[in-house]
Amino acid sequence: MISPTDSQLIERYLAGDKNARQALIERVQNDPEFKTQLAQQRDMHRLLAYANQASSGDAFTAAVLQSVQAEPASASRRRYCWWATACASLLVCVVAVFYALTTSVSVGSISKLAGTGMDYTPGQSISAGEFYLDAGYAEITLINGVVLLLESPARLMFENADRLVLRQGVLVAKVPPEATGFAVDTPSANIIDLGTEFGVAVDDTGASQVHVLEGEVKVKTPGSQEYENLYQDDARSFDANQQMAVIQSQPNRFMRTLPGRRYQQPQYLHWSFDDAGLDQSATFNCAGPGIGQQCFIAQAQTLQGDNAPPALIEGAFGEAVWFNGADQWLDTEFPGIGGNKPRTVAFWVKVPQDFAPHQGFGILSWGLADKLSAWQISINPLNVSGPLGRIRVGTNEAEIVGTTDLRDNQWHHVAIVLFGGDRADLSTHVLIYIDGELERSYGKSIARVSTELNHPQSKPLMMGRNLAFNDPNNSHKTNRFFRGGVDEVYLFDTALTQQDINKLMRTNSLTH
Amino acid sequence: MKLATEHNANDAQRLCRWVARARGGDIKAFEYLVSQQQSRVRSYLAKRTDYSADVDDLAQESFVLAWQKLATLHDDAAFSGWVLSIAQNLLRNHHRKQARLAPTEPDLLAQLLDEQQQQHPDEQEAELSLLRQCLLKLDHPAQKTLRLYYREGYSLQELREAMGVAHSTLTMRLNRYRKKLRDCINRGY
Repeated sequence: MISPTDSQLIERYLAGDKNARQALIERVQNDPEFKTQLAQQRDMHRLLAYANQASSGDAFTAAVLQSVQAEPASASRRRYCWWATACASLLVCVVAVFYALTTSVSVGSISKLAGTGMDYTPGQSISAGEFYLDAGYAEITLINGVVLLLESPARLMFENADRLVLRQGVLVAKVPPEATGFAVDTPSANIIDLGTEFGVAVDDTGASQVHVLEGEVKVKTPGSQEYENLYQDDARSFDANQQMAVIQSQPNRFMRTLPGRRYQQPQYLHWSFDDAGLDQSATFNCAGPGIGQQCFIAQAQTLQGDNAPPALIEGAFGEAVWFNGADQWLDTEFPGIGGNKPRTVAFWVKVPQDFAPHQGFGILSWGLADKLSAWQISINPLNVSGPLGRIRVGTNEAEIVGTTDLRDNQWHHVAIVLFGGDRADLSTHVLIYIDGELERSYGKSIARVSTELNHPQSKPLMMGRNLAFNDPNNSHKTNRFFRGGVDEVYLFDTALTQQDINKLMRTNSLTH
Repeated sequence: MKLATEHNANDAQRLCRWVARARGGDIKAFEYLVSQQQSRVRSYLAKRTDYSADVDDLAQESFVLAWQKLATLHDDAAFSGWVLSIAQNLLRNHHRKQARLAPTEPDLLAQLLDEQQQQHPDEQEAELSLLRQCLLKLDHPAQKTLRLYYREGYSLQELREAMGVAHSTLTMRLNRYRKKLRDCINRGY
């Protein structure tokens, strides 16, 4: 066991303090057990410092391969005859010229990112050659005007701005008229654009699918001479044996846009739950600039009608509310964000380990409990939608379910981003972040987002209650209330970036 | 125990096959070897230097050299140890270079602790991957503390303020978290 004095000395030493180092030398020389402990502390300190900046195993392997392939030849295959050396030198020159003409040439740059971690930055130039995307989504604008949206995990090789090989992953290519003829090859298909937008997906066996989203493309298998022309809503599959088949078009399988820059000063509502108990009024104040210059207090409600507030617990920042899952919730008069307008909902949630499925609906909701008209964030309580205990974004009869099991009685930061627009769709326009990392989804419904605020039955923003639980006297209704802790609820009228979300999670503010 | 021995023997045989293929110029085989060995090599280097930003470069260089010199490796089964020895040499050169660029007085404490490190070689484990899994097993305040300190670069003073604890509490916690992670890695997650 390390004493408090030693622990302070160790931290000072690890932080680079020379005096602490001197003080520790004597301790180490006289106490072998302490020496072992200090060595272990130092090793773990170094490993942690490294682990927090290290690239993923896949990205590292890819970087090694890139370096190896950039080498002119493997030593194992060299021959040391003079003429061979001369030939090799010539080959090296040719290879060098080839590389100078290809790999060092920029084919475009990254225009947008979502959930990719630290590997890439917007504006980063992309050279001809291999490109790997291990996590998230990246939008790349090529120098000929083609815009590619890549979904991880993706491995591709840019031959130049007019042709690429997609070895694995999903991409959507938007090709302007001046770049007609842009080509995508996969292990099982050749695709040439004829002025259009199309999606390509390649799995890890090399099998691929092509879906025409707009306009026209021509496709063939690599072994064939003849191209087939495809038009909007046509789709073809190509198996690893290069057999082509007609399949049903699935335009919503593809992410077609990423959030752009958010407003400089977004409007938002914020409930910190730190002000309760001051006046026993069972209300929680709303902070922030408001939306439409209005902020809305959250009023405690119970089925008994006595306004008893939920219990207060220690939250991620200050105090938090604990919903009992039986009869209590919070009401506001904020009508919500309607239609397909962009929005971000962020909060901390703590889900108990003994959480029961009927206690999942809903952490936060607004809109109309009718088909596609709601916006409700829950902990998934329905096996039919996906694994229980994961985050769930529902619009009524359509939903996204995440993959991280939140039932561990720990605080987790959750952010749901909808970047709006005419084509805003649950399957392609929503990003979920858990603890600052992009969440992979178990399943996504294909459904346009159209949150209904103006129907007589539409409800304003509530926390802790199922939007579909209409009649308080209906005691037979299940899935009525959420059970668990909620803290620092933020609601923005714009799509936040991952950087924003990480800042919010870390500092509980966007402006710090 | 018998099963474990057989399993290890199978792994070793498999590794030898991939090394032989890579020596024949099969780049996919070498890619597989890198993916299997990278965590071990990077952990080895990371634990032996305070220049964590240089670890990936050194590890990458180790594998590139291994690819170039693969013909000189006579015992395929020794591939893992051989790559580590390449990494060790590169690291030694790197430290010499750093010492020339920024000369400092000899660090006696570091030398004493390095002796300790050599007495207990535990490079059989891919500690980096295990560490990532073990971090997830810590409770939320521990994860938060380590994230702020190591990822966000908080100083001890900033960290103390962010976590709202006394200095000695914070240093004791950091010591404890590292110990927990070490135990978790030793258990194999």
